[in-house]
Amino acid sequence: MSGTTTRLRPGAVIFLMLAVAISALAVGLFMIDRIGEAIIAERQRAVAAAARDYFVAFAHEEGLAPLARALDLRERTDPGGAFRYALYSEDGRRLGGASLSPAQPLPETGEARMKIFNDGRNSPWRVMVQPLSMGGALVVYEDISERIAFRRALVASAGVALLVAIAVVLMAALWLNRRLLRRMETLAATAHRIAEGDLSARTEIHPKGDVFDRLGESMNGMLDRIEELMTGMRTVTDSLAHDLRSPLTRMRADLSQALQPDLPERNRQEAIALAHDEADRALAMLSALMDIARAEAGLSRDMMAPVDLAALVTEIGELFAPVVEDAGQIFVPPEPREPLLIQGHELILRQAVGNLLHNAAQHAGAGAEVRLTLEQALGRIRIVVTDSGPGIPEEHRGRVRERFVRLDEARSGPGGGLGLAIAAACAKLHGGALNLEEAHPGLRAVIDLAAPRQVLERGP
Amino acid sequence: MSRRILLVEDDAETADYILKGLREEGYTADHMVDGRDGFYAASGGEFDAIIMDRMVPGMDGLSVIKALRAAAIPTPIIILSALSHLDERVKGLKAGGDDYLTKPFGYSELSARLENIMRRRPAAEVETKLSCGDLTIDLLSRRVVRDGRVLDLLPREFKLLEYLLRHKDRVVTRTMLLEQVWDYRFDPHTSVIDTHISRLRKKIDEGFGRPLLHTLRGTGYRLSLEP
Repeated sequence: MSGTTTRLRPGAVIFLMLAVAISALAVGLFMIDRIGEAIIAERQRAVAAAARDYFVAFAHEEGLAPLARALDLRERTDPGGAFRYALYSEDGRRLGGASLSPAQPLPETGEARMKIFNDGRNSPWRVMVQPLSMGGALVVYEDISERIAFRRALVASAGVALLVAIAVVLMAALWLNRRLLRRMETLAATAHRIAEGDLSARTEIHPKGDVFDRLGESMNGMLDRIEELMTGMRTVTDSLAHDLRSPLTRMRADLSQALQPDLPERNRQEAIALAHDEADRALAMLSALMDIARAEAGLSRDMMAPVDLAALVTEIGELFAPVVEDAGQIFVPPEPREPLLIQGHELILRQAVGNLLHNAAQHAGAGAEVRLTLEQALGRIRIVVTDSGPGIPEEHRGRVRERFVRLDEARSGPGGGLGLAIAAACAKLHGGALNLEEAHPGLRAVIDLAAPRQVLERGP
Repeated sequence: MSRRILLVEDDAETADYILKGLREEGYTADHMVDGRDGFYAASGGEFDAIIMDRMVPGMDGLSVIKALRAAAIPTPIIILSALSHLDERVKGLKAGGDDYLTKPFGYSELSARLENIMRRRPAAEVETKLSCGDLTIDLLSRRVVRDGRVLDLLPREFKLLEYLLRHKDRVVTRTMLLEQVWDYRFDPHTSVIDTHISRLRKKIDEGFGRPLLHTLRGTGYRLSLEP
């Protein structure tokens, strides 16, 4: 499909319209000329034929001589009409009527067109010759110069009218074309600014809202999404570059150590093992960081699907119960309840809840109670992990949600300092927040989400 | 007749590593570097399983899988990928892959997963009882009996045991259990699966003559009569 594109060039369009207009004009004039001529000629011929028949009948009744006298009389009283009549004898003498001298000889019978010099000018005439049974011939002359002049005037006025109409149409077309182009230019200018690198460029939308405004609206919507994704991707790469530096630096240090020529073999093995572990940690961290960064940037949003939170917390509770119990703590699982569907990213939600339970097992200390609950109230859904351990001092609560922040600064323990960051990013991805609250005693970690407005149907 | 595996992988080092392992295990392995070639080779449907790299030249791995599934080729497929984040895993499985393995991985992990996807049974066959030696579980009444004694298992322990029994005599890795029993991504610092296994082992093996649940160092676990 990409091979065939429909191009709309204004020059070509105008040229095409012009060609159509000119041929329409030509056809129009030709038809006016033909039809006008046909109508007039038909009427004139009828008049000539009626006069001829009348004079022929008159000749039969009264004889040639009275007809000649009558024609002479008519010639004297009305010498300038379009129709002239003359009577000739068998030998070609004019017996009476009009005295015209055609340039060519008259035909024996029937019609002919010829030039006749009359009244000081040479003009076209139509000549009708009717032989009479008693000898001689009646000739009807018709001056057709007026008819031709009339036809010319008709064609000329029709031509002017058509030309004016075409000019008006062309101007309207040009105006419309310019208007369309100007609207397109606005959109093109916005696209151009985007191409130049200004991602914040948006096209202006008129509140009236014609088809171009709708196009502009769609374009702006598309640009918003592109900008969001671009910013997201930038955040992802920036944070990855930043966060991976430290494990790689440590790995490099371990490897330089191993490369020292005079190092005892045992120490060399140790350094290599350290670098190996560091690589594993960096890989795990990379996965986690990608998840955090993608969630924070909203890139994971298209992976959202209906998720049953009730089943999810029950399963993750089951998974982590032995971990909590092995830490000498008491685990209180969530109470069984009806399915609670939200539009969510199931894998990140599982990871987030798991991290909160894992954190509690790590930090609440032996003898503490760790409780996992799913609460639903006032348009909010809360996944809560409460422990009765020492909690987190007020001043550190904001900071622990950031990446790599560990209050005990110990590097040996699991988690790598990303657990709460994943939970926070997960909450943000779902349009909520991770709240750390005082539980008197202990910590209440809450993934606080907005409840879906309508009931979700679970997809296939 | 040995089973035929198709490997589509453009990285020579990874490919050699996998092919060596496959051949040592007695598989017949075909190797393609290009996604398009891989698609043509696989479209005959004569392979028992396909190992497909996510990003290969010619035709993207996911497109190959989608095209194969669209052509109704049911060959089980493991996707290999350097893309480790959760979205990619979902995309891979949605495209029609049967399993998703993130690079880098150990050969034993791949081998266990390969065995697993090749043994998937048709869904029509409904089992109500699973057993290994004198251990039997009833999937309907959720009763677990070993040597005539009824064992009291928690739901999570029952779920784990059911998975192990369905993969009887074969190696299952920690990540397979995390991913397939709990849909949870492998976390190298969490020994959560070991904790579950040791609790299950206490219930099904302690006090009986012969252990059924075996640990394979560095790899995973196996439920079988033979150690």
